[in-house]
Amino acid sequence: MKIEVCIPSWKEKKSVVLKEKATVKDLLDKLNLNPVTVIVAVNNEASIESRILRGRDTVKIIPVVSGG
Amino acid sequence: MDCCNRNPVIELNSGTKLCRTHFCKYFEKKIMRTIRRFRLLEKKEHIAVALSGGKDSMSLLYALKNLLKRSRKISISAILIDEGIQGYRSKTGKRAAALCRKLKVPLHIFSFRKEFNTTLDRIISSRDSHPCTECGILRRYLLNKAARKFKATKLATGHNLDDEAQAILMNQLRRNTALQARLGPVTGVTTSRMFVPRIKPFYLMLEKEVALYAYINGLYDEYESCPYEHDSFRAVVRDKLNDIENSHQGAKNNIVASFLDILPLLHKRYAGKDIPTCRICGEPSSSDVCNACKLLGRIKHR
Ligand code: SF4
Ligand SMILES: [Zn+2]
Ligand SMILES: [Zn+2]
Repeated sequence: MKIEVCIPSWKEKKSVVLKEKATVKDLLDKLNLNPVTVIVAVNNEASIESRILRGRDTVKIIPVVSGG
Repeated sequence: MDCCNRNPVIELNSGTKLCRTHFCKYFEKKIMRTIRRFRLLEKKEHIAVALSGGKDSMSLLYALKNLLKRSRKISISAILIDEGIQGYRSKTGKRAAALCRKLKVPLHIFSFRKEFNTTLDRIISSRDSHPCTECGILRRYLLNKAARKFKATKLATGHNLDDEAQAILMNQLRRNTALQARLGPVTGVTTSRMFVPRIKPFYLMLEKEVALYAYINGLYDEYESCPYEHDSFRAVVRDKLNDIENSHQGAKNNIVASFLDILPLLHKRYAGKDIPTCRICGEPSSSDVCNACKLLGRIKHR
């Protein structure tokens, strides 16, 4: 299935291909992101890592680390 | 904490899953526990929140205002320091001002330009420097001065558990034992009236929890980072620490907890005498001339 992913450091949305019933954790692994450092919003709702994604979900990844 | 278990937004280290409503309750309860455990507040206070417009200080102001709204003896105002960082502070500053208007919190703005007749951008471009160190020295100086000016009894900052764990490790990696004694949930408690004691109500909050609280309450969705942030040793320690936390859950908590075990000993060992004042500016200082004046002097005499 295809998931739309938006990360602030990317200029535009990207499609990521995942196997069926993949979870938020699987997506983060695929993007090589440490779950400790991000919040994942699925269709604009913050979600836990074990949430199962569905085709056409829109995922926004928000970094939690800050400076200043 | 019990939860209705609908649409969980977080899974705590304990394995408990919380929905957004119950997460916010958990978060605010934890702040109250922190305040009580470390005696951060007395019955009567005027708290100045050091507001930067980032997620930590925005959440802090929002949560404190929410928790203390029924208290008649505790008042809250906010202080914003404009360091003069092009493009960065203008954005976060606007966001901070909007939140203050919404919460009806008085906001006082102090700028490097007005107080020191320079900007961080200029300081950085004029010499080899460590942006965060110099920024920190001047900001701390100004925050104290501002808090005192508005007769604040406590200066609250948004430092979270991650910040503290990083600072502890950084001090160890550099063997800065004396500086270690100045960390902790309450700092700057001296007999000097020139110092407004600093409190960290987010002392036991993971950075991720703070970010989530901010996100849920609409305080944070666009991520900005300071252009100088990457240069810092802190960024290195932070990233390594997050890797360790990912493979060894609870590591950050344990770093801070073991630090708290030895903090009383550190305090005893480095107990300060009365803090003298800087002979140039009259601000509290551990030596004859304070760090801010030393730094400003170096910039001037180039
Ligand atoms: S990241 Fe460093 S330079 Fe930027 S605001 Fe924070 S302390 Fe100052
Ligand atoms: Zn619930
Ligand atoms: Zn001075």
